Amino acid sequence: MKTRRLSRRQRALANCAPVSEERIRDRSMRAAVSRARGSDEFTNQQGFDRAVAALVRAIPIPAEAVEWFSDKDLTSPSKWTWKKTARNPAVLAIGIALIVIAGVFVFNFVGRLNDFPGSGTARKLLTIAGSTRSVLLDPVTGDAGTLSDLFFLKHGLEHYDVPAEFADFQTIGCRVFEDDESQRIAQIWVAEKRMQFFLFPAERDAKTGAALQFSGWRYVHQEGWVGAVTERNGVCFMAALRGPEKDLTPYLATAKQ
Amino acid sequence: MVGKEATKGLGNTLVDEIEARNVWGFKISVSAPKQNLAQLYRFCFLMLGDSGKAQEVFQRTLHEAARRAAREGLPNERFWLFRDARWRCLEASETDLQAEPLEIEEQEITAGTASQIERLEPIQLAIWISAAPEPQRTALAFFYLDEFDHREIADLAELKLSELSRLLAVGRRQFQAWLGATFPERPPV
Repeated sequence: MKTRRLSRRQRALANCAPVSEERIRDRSMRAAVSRARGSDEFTNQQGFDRAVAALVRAIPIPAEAVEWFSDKDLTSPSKWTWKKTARNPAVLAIGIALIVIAGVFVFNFVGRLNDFPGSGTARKLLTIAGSTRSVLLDPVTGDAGTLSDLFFLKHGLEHYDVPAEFADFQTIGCRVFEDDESQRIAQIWVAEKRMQFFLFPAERDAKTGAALQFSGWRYVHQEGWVGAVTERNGVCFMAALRGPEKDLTPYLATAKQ
Repeated sequence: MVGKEATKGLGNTLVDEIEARNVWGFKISVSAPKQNLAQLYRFCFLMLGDSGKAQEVFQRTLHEAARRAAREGLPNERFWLFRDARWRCLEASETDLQAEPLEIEEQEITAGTASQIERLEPIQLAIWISAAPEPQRTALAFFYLDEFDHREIADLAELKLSELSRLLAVGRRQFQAWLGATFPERPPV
């Protein structure tokens, strides 16, 4: 009897030897079965186990149990719902990202709605207005409207006229400089609410070179500054101050009257 | 063999369904190992020795599994369905009449045992196994499902290898004795 040569552990393993060979997954069990194989005791055990396992496989599954596997019963407890999907972190993250993208898109779109020829330059000049110190400008005392002659005579700038509605404002200083596109810009600092005026060439059509005109006053906003821009004779005038749009509106309302 | 035919292809239907739903519910990480549902029913049947009770426990186990899949996801644990079904079977048996502990006869397995077993009905085997004391009953039921290896059975039945080995060996001899008494071997012609 070969089984007598089995160690205690091997005997224990042989007693648990699986009915099907494919269930033997570890080396120790394989070794135990290999050693036990051939003995009458183990052969009888395997015959016994195989017969019982076959009987177990023959256990009928009732129709009710089989029906239970149908989709109808299974799908109901965990039905796909909008609510459940919306609570999912991945869906939430995607949703938030889409809302942010849509927000940025709407913000840009609304911003562009107020765009006009020269609005880009006007925004850049508002940034300059925010960083300009009065010492940078040449001190000039007088009405803003009188500076047109100065710009023409000293700098050769034609039509750099301050509109009538702002012509009476007392100036503190002015200067002429070139921006990063080599456009000549006139900057005037006035005493009224520390307002600044800018005169700059109107945007031109790339093909014809003609100045792009627009009527009335247009507002631009940049870094807490607000500017009211108008265009005349190919030159844009911008009155700028730090604060909300309503601080600038009264001057323009007066102008319209 | 109608039942055997009927279960053909049944395989892991439920578990696959639950897992598939988890994927749509984005609980991909919670995937349960594949478990054979037909074998789950047979396990309940062997544990309880009664088709009605087995069906009840089987259905309750699967209902609970579906509920968990829908709410918190399935446990990432091997054979959790079988483990769950086992505890339900044990609970269900507690309410039954308990057999008085008897000194059961044992007999060495003989070569002709297989032919004796072939004459049995599955319910007779199930009644015999379900009447065995715990944890022998669990060990025999898991072992003869031919679904698990010895380590898995020991884990499921919460037994050491030596205990499992002893329980199986004793179970075989006791069953042989019962067979000998119930279906005496036919003398060779």
